[in-house]
Amino acid sequence: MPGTCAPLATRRSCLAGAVSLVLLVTGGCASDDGDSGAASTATSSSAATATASASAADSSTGSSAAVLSTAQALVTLLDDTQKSAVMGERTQANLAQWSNLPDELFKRAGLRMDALNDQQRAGVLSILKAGLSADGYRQVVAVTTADGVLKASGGIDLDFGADHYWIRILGTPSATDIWTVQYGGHHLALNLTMRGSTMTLAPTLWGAQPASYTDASKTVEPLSGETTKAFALVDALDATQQKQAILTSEIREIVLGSGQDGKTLAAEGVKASTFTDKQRTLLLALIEEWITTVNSGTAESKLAAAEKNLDRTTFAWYGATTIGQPIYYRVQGPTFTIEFAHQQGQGANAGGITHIHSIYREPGNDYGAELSS
Amino acid sequence: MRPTSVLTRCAVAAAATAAGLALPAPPASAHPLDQLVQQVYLTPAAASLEVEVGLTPGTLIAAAFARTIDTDGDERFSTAETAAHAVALKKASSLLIDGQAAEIAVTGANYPPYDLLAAGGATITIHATTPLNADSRQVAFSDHYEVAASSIVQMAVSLSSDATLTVGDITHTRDGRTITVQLASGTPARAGKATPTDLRSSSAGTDMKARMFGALRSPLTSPWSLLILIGVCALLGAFHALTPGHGKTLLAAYLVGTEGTPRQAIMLGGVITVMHTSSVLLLGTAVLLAGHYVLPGILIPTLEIAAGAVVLILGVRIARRRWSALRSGNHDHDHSHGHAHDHHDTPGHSHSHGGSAVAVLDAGRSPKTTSAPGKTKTGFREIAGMGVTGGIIPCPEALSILILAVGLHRTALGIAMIVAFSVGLAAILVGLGLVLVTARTTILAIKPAGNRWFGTRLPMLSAFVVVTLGLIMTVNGVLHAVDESQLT
Repeated sequence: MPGTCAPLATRRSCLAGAVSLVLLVTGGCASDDGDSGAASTATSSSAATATASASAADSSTGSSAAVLSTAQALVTLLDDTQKSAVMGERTQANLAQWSNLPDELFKRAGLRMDALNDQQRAGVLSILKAGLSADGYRQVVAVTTADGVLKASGGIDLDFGADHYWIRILGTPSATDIWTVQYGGHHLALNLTMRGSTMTLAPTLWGAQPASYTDASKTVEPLSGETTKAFALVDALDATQQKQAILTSEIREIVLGSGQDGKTLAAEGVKASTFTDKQRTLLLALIEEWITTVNSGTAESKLAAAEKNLDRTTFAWYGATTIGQPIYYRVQGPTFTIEFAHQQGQGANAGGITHIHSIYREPGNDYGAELSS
Repeated sequence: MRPTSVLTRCAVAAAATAAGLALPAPPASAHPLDQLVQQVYLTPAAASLEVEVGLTPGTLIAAAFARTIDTDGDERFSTAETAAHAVALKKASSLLIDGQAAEIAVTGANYPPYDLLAAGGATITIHATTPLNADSRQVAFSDHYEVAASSIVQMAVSLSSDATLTVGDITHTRDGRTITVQLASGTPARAGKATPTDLRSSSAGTDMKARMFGALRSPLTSPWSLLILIGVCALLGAFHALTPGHGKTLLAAYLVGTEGTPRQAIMLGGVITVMHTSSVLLLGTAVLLAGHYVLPGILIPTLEIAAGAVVLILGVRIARRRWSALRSGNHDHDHSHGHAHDHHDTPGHSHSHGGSAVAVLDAGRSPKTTSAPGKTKTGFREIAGMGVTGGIIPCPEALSILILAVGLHRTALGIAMIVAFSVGLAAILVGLGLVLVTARTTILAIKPAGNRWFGTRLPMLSAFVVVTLGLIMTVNGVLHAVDESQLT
């Protein structure tokens, strides 16, 4: 256990065993069985708070101006030490400091939500509401709440949880210059970059574990649409298209995860130019699911670009085409790259459909690179 | 790809000089938990094919995987261990270009700390490159690397903004361990835009280093491009000299207490340039020919000890001589009008330190002296000795250039780049020396009353600092040598 691995030099090594143990004990990556077990613990205080805030976000519209004002408002709520912790230089090294690892295994920077008071936490959530759509904000809350569910399901604490998410502002919040808000932790890495009225979420890591849980008697699936709409599309392909779409070798992890900024993948899979109208509609619906996490004003132009370039879009798949099976898929267009991967370990540690990693990127536009020139 | 001996040695050297390449350490992904994820990115760029391999062990197998690299079980990764691992990885890969086996040169490696990798919180990254002609039509890369735990091998093609070939069909075979990429002429229609400079690199030095490596892989289109490349190399050497280290403290400490001349400073620069170039060539050649038996990780500490010892000895000599001069009252020797001094028994000497230090001779004379030590046999020997200590330890950047140049069969260009790099490095150090020499003379001219301080206390203080720095260098070298000796 981490607590018994006192010397720093050996602590991380001990963690390897600890991780093994926690996963074996909790079945954190195990099976659907874990979900029901986790359900009774889903209403931890942090999760409840976050859920309540999510409801409040429904009416928010969001814009870069709103992100700016809410960020500036948050800064006024912080003391000097907190300000220096949350504000950072917008360097590539700082921008890239995110991961899908828990805090015990990955050093994050900024301010963690559990270190803030209620007013400050509300201030952070206000920034997210301003930058995201109502659906996007609900998705954030569902992802972070899932981390609380996973933690409450027992096992060794690797320093993750519903309130183990960090806020960081890189660059100076400004109405004209480029700056970035980061909000992330174990299964989420939001990178919200603004310049003037333009904004991008690229890159943003969306994860979920458990991918389905019960909260207040309701089933919550943070990445439900991203899952079901992909199956709907692959099932709508004809045999020839499916053969083109399905990769000949297995992919178990997203290819452009953390540490892979600046890369643009060559197209693989079936070309959307071969799609029927119905298939095109299903593809657009899937893309929309990803793009509309950002506020509506931003999403509108990004959706228009995606639709305009639909013929230059490709769809690749690995895994069974029956929903409920672990899969990998990738949708690529000139203006976006989407990857989704069920974590597919073996034996007792199989993640399967209860554990998702996914990423949204825009080729050449990580952290608003196109906005900065 | 044929795992030729030269390539293997390239891998050794490149891994050993990975720190110099300053590759950013990427964060790791944590899953799958019980497998080693081998992620390969092939990038057809302008005139080259770039290969990046990332190894991420899942948390359940990370400790066991880390132990396979940490062969002596000390829970640390030594240069020799990571080099051996890079060689194993290199040997387990192969590349075919248009059906022909192609050589590939490892240009960099990043190994995270042992404990972080063992905990499943890090990724090993290896970078390699091979020339790619404009008429190449197919590349096939295979990864046969096996570990005790099961692996998942994922391969992808990454697009480069400066590519001159279009990527066509991509096929994966042998459980993903082989990727075959069809290529065609023309700029890729969907190539990603280059990451802006401000996001890709935070320093001019890093940018220029990338240009140097890029230039090695690209054909030179005109004499002008060669000149520009040489200029860039010299600038990189200059920037490198401005980074911490390189004996600037020693230089300053020494010069404020001595009376070097501009001529001596310039002579010294020449010696350092020749020495640093020779050192890179010799060490590079040794690594390429003797491979595993001449590891820079062992040789460099030895050189550090030697250079440190020379500085220490010189420092002690300076201190003794100045102390004797003080005791005999023959210390107030730098009058504003300048004249020759009574130090012909110890006619000036010098020192430097490992990492390309420079210093100007302790001439014991005014700038107007007519018998500067550089003109005497003894003085010249001392300048040479000083240059040796200043240039004997090759910079990793320069060594990397040579090894990559050999791997790409562009040795002559690589040597030219190294000479330029050394000149740039020496120029900065000599320039600093000249500034200090001039400043000292100017201060004395303006304020002759300062003579007492300059003539008595400062020379002794500077000698003491030189001795101390020599001691630190030697001890550091010994500590490094002890570290490395545990691995062999």
